[in-house]
Amino acid sequence: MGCAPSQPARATSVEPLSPRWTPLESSREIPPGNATLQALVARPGRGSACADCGAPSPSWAVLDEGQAGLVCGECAGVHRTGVSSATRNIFWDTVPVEAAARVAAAVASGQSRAYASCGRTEHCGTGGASRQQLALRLAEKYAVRGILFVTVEGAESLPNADSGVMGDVSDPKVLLWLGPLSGETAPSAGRLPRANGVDVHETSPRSNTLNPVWGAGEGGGGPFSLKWDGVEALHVLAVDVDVVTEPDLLGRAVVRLDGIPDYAPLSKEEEAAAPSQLVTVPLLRTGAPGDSKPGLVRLSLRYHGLGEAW
Amino acid sequence: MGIVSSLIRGVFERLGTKDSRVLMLGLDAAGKTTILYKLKVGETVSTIPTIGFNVEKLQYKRCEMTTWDVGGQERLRRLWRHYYTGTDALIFVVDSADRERLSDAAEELSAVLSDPGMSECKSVLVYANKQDLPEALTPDEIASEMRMSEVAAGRKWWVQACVGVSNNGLYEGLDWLADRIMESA
Repeated sequence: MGCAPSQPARATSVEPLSPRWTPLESSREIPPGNATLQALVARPGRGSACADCGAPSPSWAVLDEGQAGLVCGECAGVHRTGVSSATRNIFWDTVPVEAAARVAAAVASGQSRAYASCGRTEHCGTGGASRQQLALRLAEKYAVRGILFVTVEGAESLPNADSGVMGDVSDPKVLLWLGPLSGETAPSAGRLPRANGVDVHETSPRSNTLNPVWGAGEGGGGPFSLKWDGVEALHVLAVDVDVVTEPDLLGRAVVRLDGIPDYAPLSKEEEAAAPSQLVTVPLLRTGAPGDSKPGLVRLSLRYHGLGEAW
Repeated sequence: MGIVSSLIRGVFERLGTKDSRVLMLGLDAAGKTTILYKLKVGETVSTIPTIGFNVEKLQYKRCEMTTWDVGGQERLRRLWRHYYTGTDALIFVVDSADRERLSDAAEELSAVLSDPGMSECKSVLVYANKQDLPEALTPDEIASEMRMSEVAAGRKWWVQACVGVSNNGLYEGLDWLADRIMESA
């Protein structure tokens, strides 16, 4: 942004994740077996479609003699459960060179109808569910691009929503979920997005404090594991827990996620070196009564991509 | 929220079930997701390779086990360590018929259990899955091949023969695990 003339007042979103959160550029060598198969899939021709159902861009290899071939995830599932356990993902597993050669030969010979050679006459992946249901489930599953780990470290200067008598102040907890920057998944005052298929993660409650501390593990602040499919934002909501009534909203914030790189660590060392990022998120008022200062929430974020980095 | 409500909450916690965090790991295609959903819904769902993780709450006896099933593909195993913190018990699933990769499984299990993040994990249940396959190793053979007494030293461990797709052995294993979790409560 450079020389913005003045600090904008409490924006509806905080800055995108800082550029410090960048992938480690290590020299990644594709194992030769994987390279062979990845090239087959990329080239137009027999290898570019699932040997069983014809779906494009298969990313799984069935290695067994007599069944060898390249298949999609759904068909790989069938081979894994019923027919063979030797299925490998050509991006996530190491495919031995000899096995890759066997698969490549089967693809080239055109006899790579993997399930046909397992003796089944119709597609075996449907197992009761309709193809439409399966397609839906797969689309959902393969949309996951990575896992975002969020730990709520603490909050400061939260508004007081309780009586204030004899130390009776807010009993805060923080809720987190992923969603579009603005949309129906965001809760209106007093209502929490429990339904609609949105996974809401929440910290344990803290009693009578405006500066709660959580942290990982026993602290009850996470790390929460959120499947990220490219959605724009992490929503943060601080509420006051009441025993009898609906929770009072203390403040809310939106963390933009467009700074996430498609980072998938290869080795344990790389994984350990990937920093988690501390973000301080200013909260916005949500119309709750009480203190005029909205306070802030401190989060620590870590992203583990499941991208095809080989 | 005040003293009274704190007291009420405490009483409910004592009467209610024991919450625990269970982590389910194992090599790819060992049968983790099949077992998870067999235990959850009692049916064999046709699974596809797990991208990331699945998580389900399993209610058994007085235990509510929040069970995390994390993908076992070679590269997904890097994810495992993010799920260690706070884990009370580990379920490690082995394909009993995959003799070739049993040593890989043993190595992974050893790495998991020696991680400091797993220090709170006191119990290890090994599901020796796919016992219906003719070439399957027995639970004893698996225990010795995987050097369980050494790898799981200082922890309670048990190798349970099972067939994930038909339910055989799954509840016997869960029985053992639930008892260990209640013991440590």
